[in-house]
Amino acid sequence: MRKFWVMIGALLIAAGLFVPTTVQAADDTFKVGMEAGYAPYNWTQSTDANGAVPIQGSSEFANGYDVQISKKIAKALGKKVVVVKTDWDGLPPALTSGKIDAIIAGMSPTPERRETIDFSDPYYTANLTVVVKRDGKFANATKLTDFKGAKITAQLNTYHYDMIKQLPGAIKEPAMNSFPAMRVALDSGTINGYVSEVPEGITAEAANPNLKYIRFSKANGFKTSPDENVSSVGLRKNDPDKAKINAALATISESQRAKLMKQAVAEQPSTSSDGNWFMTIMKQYGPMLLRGTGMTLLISLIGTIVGFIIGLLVGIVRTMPKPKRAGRRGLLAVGQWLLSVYIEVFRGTPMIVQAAVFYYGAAQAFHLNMDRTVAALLIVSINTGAYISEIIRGGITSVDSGQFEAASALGMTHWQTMIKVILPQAVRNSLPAVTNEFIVNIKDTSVLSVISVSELFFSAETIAGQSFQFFHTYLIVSAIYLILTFTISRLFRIVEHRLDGPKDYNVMNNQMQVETPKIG
Amino acid sequence: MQTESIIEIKNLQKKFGDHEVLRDINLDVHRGEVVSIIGRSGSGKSTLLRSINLLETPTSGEIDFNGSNILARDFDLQHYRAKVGMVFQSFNLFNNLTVLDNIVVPQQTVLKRDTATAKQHATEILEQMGMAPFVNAKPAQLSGGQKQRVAIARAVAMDPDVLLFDEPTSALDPEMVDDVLAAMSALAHTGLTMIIVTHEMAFARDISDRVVFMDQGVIAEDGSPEQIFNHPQEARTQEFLKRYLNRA
Ligand SMILES: Nc1ncnc2c1ncn2[C@@H]1O[C@H](COP(=O)(O)OP(=O)(O)O)[C@@H](O)[C@H]1O
Ligand SMILES: [Mg+2]
Repeated sequence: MRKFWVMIGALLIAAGLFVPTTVQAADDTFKVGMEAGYAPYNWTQSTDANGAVPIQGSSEFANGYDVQISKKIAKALGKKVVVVKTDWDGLPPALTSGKIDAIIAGMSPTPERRETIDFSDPYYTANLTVVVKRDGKFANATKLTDFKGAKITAQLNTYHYDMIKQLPGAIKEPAMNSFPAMRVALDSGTINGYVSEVPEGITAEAANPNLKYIRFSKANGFKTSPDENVSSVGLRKNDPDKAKINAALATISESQRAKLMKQAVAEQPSTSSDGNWFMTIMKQYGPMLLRGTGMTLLISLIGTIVGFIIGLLVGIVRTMPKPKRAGRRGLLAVGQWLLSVYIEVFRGTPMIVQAAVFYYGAAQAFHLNMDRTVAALLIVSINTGAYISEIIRGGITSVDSGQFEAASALGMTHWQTMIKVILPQAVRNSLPAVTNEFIVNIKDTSVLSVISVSELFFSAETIAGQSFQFFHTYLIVSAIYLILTFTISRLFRIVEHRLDGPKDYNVMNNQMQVETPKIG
Repeated sequence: MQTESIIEIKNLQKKFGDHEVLRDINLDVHRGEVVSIIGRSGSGKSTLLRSINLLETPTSGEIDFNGSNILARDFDLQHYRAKVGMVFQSFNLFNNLTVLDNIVVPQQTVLKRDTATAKQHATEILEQMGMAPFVNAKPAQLSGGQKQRVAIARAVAMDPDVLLFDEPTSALDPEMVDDVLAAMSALAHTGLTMIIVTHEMAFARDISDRVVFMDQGVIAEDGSPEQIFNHPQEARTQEFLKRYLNRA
């Protein structure tokens, strides 16, 4: 038993060494939030080539039109750019909670967004287009009225989606999460087109020769308000740097902007898919997958171990006998009630919600700026603790009460009985269920992408988004998940056998051996 | 045998809810005495035994151990329990521990004995019980009779002043009973104080200094084995014994 605790301690310390210690943003950094997966505005790459900047908390880099603009703004502010890779929907809360200083992510200053955040002057004006299939029914469209009967979609939470109503007779399909997803949907024929911006259209054409974007003339194109077809820098309300940022943007001329965009389109990650798909993905994204796997393993391992320790402690407290003294009895009752609230709350809400509330909520309400990896570890640990508490409690109550009585009759305290007799049996009986929690954790850390923890699924999203190889990327990632979970269940099987000890015992043969009792 | 009292029970009452299981029990056990408790199932024998080491909390009355009331607030319960051992019908061995550790761990945790001393002590007692060959076995690998001898060894290893036995052979196959009874007689001859709930009448007659007959929560008769088994005063004692002795 002692060895067991030493082992856990060593594991915790070892794991602690691997937690990436992100340098807390000093005042001279300009933290910019973007998806880093929306080429040519922004994307992720593994080197700092072409003036890419580091992504916070990872060893990857971001580049693209937004990144180049960010650098010019940062220079004017006398700061250095750090990119904080964030899901699209996570951008406004990240800004208001102070996780980032600005959103530079191809975001348009719509009136709804203006209610919560402020915007700079535009730094890019993009014309809208519809991306269609090159050999499809709508390939030769030239005006908005040419889309009668076309199934059209656009990205969720963008004004593009509202623009579908300017296409008379078009069928509005449900909005989709990302451009790569829409390209796949278009290629496979589930939609006939999606509303997008010209730079994205150029990219789509380059990525997939089956696609083309419609080159509307000025008169025949979408009617947009100036708020919608421009990109602006998202800022917190009353940001004192707003004037400086606008001044910096004013120095970038229209032709310079066009040049930057052309350059971004040219430099964006190659999306060609010839040759061996496996080797192509591994060569370009192998390190990213490896790091994602490491992060997933780290979070689920530490989360399970810490959750297990929480579960043990909570399990002990919840099965404590009532003390004789009224005061202590009351205290225990309150403690036990609080613990059951903890268990119900964490079992009763999705981990994705807990992560969002915990990470963004803590920042917004208490200005608590937590490292995202630490936040992830906490969430997974506390969440797992709630589940394992119940598992351990079941394990404790499944040990027959006679052993409790025998221990009391011998004079052992509740604590001694627990440590020496009950918990070893409870833990042994709970081990299959704990293994199961570990495996669930491996898979469920994927929801942590909501707080932009770059675990395996988050990496997969990025890779799929950039390589446009959805099927192949997720195939590889499934294999990785499967290998992880399979190895873990095997390892725990071995641990179980070890704990059970040998099936047979050795009869001690010595000369003192007697079969009938004899007391001198 | 007139030594001082080691356990003195006065007006003991135990209720489970409204059900009065023990009524006005008075029992005086002297140091070195072997007392057997007999009686019908449900008469309250186990409850009495369990009240003595406070596995059940008495509803009212007093239990004195060496003259001090164990029900008093400031009484050192842990220490008392180490001094009063208990052997259960269902053995209640610690299933996660080997035979040896079942006996070593309580000595270490409760008596704070060092490992070497505790092991030495355990080994000696296991040898006396004929269980030395099984030190490395887990309880699940033993027969009932073997388990009970380990359970007795575990209680004995605490060097108790009093040992309580609650039907120690009732869960055993008949051919195992004798080994356990032999171990108990051997213990009785060491001068240990023992209170034994049993249905083994011949054993009770041979081993006991005193026999107590319980009926419906009261002590119906209390006397020497000769008196209880050969000249029972109470009609209910006679009736109970008739049924048992006929069966034997
Ligand atoms: N924990 C309990 N709760 C309620 N009733 C109990 C409990 N334990 C014992 N009893 C009742 O007390 C009476 C005496 O039981 P017990 O002392 O076990 O008798 P014996 O050991 O003589 O067979 C029985 O009627 C039994 O049902
Ligand atoms: Mg009984």
